[in-house]
Amino acid sequence: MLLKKFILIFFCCGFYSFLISCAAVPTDPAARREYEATNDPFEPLNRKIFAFNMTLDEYVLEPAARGYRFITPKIVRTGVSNVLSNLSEPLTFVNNLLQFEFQKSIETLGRFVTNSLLGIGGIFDVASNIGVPSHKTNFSETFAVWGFGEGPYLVIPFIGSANVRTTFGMAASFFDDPLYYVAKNNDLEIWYYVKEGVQVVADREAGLDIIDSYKKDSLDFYATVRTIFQQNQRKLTEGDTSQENTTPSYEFDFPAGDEEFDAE
Amino acid sequence: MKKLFTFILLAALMPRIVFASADEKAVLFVKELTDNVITNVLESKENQTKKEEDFKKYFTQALDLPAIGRFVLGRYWRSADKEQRDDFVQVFMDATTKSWGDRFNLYTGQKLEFLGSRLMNNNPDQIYVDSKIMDKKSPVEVIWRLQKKKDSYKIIDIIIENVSMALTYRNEYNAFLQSHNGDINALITQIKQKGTDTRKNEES
Repeated sequence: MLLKKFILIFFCCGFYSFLISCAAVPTDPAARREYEATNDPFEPLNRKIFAFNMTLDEYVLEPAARGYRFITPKIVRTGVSNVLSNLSEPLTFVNNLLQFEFQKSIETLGRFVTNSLLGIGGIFDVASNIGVPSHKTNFSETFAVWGFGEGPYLVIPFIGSANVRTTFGMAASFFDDPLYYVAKNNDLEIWYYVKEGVQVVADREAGLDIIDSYKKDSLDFYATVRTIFQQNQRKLTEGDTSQENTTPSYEFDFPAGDEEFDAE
Repeated sequence: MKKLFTFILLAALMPRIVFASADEKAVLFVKELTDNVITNVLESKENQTKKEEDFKKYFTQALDLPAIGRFVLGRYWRSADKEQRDDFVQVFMDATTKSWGDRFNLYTGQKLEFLGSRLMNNNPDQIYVDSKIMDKKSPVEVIWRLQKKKDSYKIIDIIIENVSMALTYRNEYNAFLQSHNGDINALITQIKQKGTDTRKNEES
């Protein structure tokens, strides 16, 4: 429980410092529109934390991810990733229910049982192979479904991109993951944290190539990461993420006018 | 019973049929382009330089890069003079083709499946073509945004898993310009510089 308290204190400290450092609001109307669309009033502080996180990534997380890739064959990594995603199914199940996606919640439950038993503790994703796809979700998405706004963009130490909604979502996931209570009641709490740690390294490994390529190309990596995060977040409030009825949202972010595609 | 079955089958197919008919030609346009790129670039046995050259040909033909460039520069486009605009479109074109070129090796034989097309705001000249890269683990959603030009089409954005290429560049370049007093020449130099840096790194 100590670790959880530590993390909570960290969140609170983070919020406090956000409140005391703000970027200057531009007065020029076009610049102001851009400032509002970016939704990053704490940019100066965010950039500092981002730089700290990048250093941490460079010296700790990225080497760990490369090491992981180096010592394990692809097939092992697939197994690990399957086990991890199987362990996240209980949390997904709870959130499917909270989002009133009852069909999905039944499928999630079915996946968990199938993969745990037939897939030998989740090593093999049997359910996907027989046509029951994953409906992975979390509290951040539940809050989005419930209509909570994003709030401004934040960069959290050790964690990275966030906004107010995902911060609450993360906190909720910490306290309401069914897996955590199962672990705790069986004196296996430490294994819960091991799982979280492995998850972080495995996720970083999965993102190695694409992150490298963005990092190499970007003139301002902070801005690139921010916009990718925000575009994904904005998608959430537009409802179903499947292909139908999805309208990419940027027309709404920038007022129509001579800046649009059909200019000139 | 048979009638009911037919009805259910039709109902199940219905949305897709209606969905797909928004602009079938647009779907064919993207399909032809991606088929060409897959066969003649991604699966080609040529060396990387030749592949990049071929890719650039398809890419610049299919994309309305000047329009994307305008959108990407946003409010700074208005304050740029003609020479700056032309220069920017040129370096932007080089930079985007190069960064796609660097990702060729991520292709491991995935197939692209087309789901149909939609009009944006009922405007027949603005079309979204929906597709999925069928990856073994999880399919990747790719949306192509097209602008109809007379009888042909131009791609003005590619949205991969919720992330728009145009919007991402726009945010990145605007952040750069903001921290450089809106100096477009500095942006052009920096994009060029970035290109030569990566080339040097690859050669060494």
